[in-house]
Amino acid sequence: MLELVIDGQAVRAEEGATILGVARDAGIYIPTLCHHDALSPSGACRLCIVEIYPQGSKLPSMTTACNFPVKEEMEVRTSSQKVLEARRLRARVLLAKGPESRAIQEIAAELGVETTPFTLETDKTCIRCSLCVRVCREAIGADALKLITRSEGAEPHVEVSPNNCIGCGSCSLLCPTGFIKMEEAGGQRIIWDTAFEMKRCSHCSSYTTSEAHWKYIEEKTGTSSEFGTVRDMCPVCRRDAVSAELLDLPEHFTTSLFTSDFD
Amino acid sequence: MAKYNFLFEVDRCVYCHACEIACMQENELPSHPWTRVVQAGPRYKGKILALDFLQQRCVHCEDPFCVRVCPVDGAIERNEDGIVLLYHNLCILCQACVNVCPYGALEFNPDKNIIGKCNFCLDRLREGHKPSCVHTCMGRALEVLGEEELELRVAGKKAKKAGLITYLLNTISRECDHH
Repeated sequence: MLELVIDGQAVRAEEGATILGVARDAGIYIPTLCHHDALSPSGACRLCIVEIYPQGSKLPSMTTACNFPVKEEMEVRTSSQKVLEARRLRARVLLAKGPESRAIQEIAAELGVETTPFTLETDKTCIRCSLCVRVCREAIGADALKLITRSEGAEPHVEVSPNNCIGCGSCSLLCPTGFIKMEEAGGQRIIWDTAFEMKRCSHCSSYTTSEAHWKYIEEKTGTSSEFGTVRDMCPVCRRDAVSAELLDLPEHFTTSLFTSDFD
Repeated sequence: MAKYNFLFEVDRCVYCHACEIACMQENELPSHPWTRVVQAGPRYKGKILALDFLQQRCVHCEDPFCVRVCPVDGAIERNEDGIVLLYHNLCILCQACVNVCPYGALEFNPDKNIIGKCNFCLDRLREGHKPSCVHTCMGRALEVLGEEELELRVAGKKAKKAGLITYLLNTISRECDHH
C-alpha cells in the first residue's frame, strides 16, 4: 500500500494501480474516451490528462491518468486550470474529428466546449484511440486489426486482416466516433468492407449474427449438443420456444402464437 | 438453497406491461426493457379457447452459457445468491451472450449502447425492497420468496422451474367455453 494525494484528498492505493483507477475509487471523476475497464490502457484520447507533482517536487508535469502508475507521496491535480485547458483543447480536436459522436459531445459539453475552431480535411473520423484494436486482440482474441503508425501515412488508421475478422461487430459498437461502419443487408453483415454470411433463424428467418461469430461462440462454449431445438433460432424465437414449453404447447405454436405489443 | 426465488403465477398476469415500464424506469432505459410479457393465444385447448400471458426474462441458470461464452473475465458472473450479473463497465458489446442464451434473455439496447439483462434489481433486494417489476405488478403475479415459502405456495399445484424462477401454471385458467 502506498499513500498519495489527489485533489488535496489523501488516498491509499495498491502498488501498480493507475491514477485513474485510484481516483475513481476515491470518487474523483476524470473524463475518458478510449479507456475501457476490460482492456489495457492506451492513453490515446488524452482526455484523462492530469497534473502530477512527484514526491517532494514543486515541478509539475502533465500525464494521462489511465496508464500512469501511482507513486508514493505523489500529488495529483485532476481539475486545475492547466488541466482543464489541456482537456478543452483536446475536446476541440476530438469534436472536429467526430462531430456526430454522442460520447465526444457529452465530454465536450462537460468541459464547456461547444464549437471547434478546427476543420477536418478528410471524412475519416478515426481518432486512433485503438479501442477496436485492443478489443479485437485482447478480448475477442481474433487479432484482426492493427493500428498503422502515422509515418506510414495514409488513411484509414486501422489495417484489417479479413482472414482473422469474425464479424462480431464489437469494434464498431465500441468505436466512439462511428468511424467503423457495420451494415446488415440481404443476409450479409458488412464491416471493414468485408461481407460476412449471417446465421438465419430457423423459425422467423431473421438474421442474428455472422456465421463466423457463431462458430466462435460454439467453439468457446462447447455447447452445440446442449442447445437442442433452439440452436438455430433467433433470441426472440428462443424466448417463445421456452414459453411454449412452459405452457405445454405443441412446437408449431412457437412462432405463430406469441405476440408482444410493446417494443 | 437459493435466497431469492421468483414466482410467476400465470393465472394472475393481466398483460398490463407494468413490469416492463417499471424495469425501464428502474434501469433508466428509454427502450428495450429487460423483461417482457407475451400473450400466448387465443388458442384452442381441445374444445376450449384459452388465453395465457407469460413473462419472459433471464431465469438465472445454474450453469449459464453467457458466463461460459463471455470473452472478458468477470463481465458476466453468477453471484453467491445464484443471480447472474452483467457488469456494463466490463462488457465489450460482442453480443456472444445475446446469441448464445437459450432463453433469448439478453438483448442489445441501441439507445444506451449496452447489453440488457435482468439483474433482479439486486440493489433493491439488498436494501430489503422488492425488485421493481415485482413491486409494480398489477395482478400480483410476481413474487420473491424464500425456499420454504415457495414450497408452500407450489405444493400440490402444477409448476415448472427454470433457474431461479418458478412458474405456477394454470389453476383457474383464463378459459371459456367457445360454444
